[in-house]
Amino acid sequence: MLAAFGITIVIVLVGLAVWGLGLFAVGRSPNRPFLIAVALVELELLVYAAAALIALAVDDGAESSAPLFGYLFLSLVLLPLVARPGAGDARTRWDSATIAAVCIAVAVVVLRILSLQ
Amino acid sequence: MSRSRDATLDGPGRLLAVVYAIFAVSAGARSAFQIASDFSLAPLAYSLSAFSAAIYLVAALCFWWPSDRSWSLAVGALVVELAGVIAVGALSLAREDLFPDQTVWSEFGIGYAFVPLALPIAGLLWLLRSGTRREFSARND
Repeated sequence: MLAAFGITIVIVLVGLAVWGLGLFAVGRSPNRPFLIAVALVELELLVYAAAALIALAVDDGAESSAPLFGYLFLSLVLLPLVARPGAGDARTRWDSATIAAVCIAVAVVVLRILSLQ
Repeated sequence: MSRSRDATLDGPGRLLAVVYAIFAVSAGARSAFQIASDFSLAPLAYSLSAFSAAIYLVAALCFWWPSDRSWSLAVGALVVELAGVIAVGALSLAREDLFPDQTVWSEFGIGYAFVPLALPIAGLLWLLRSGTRREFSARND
């Protein structure tokens, strides 16, 4: 169940990365639908992190928990940092590329989390 | 001029800063965990991972806070990084016994989709453009 959720998030993140790269390719800064999609995937990541922590507590997997905590933390902080809520018109096409790159990075982080579970 | 949010680079500089910061955190956390848990297993590999994390951190900071000095430091860091990726990549293929565990730069960064090899090349190409140096200079304190 948790693995399927994680894989879904990875697929969504890759889709967002393609979307971001598409915006970059046509010279556009992140538009409103794209930023809403980024916010939604961040929400999914929050739910996923909560579920992963609950699963960890239930399974008593304390041995490998340190890297898991690190990956969960990374998966949550990266997108809000680069999406720059409040930047408004200050965003450029390079913000689209930066968000796309971070989507790929977060997808890799989620895959690492999946490999630990 | 006092340093403000505007002192941060826009465009490719921001992208490079973010990517380098991600690599600094991931390589640093990974090497710290490996060194703390079982350093004797692969001392060379884990030390190189820690070294690469330090290089990534220096580069990220230089891209984030541009100035004349940070431009020179960034060029130096990326040259060392590129040399490191090539040397460690070649050595990890020629002498597998030296690397019982992977480093970020093993086999030219194959474990990270060759991003560790592409990153310093892209960064140096951008840094060495004449406009980039002017952009770094314009952000001096």
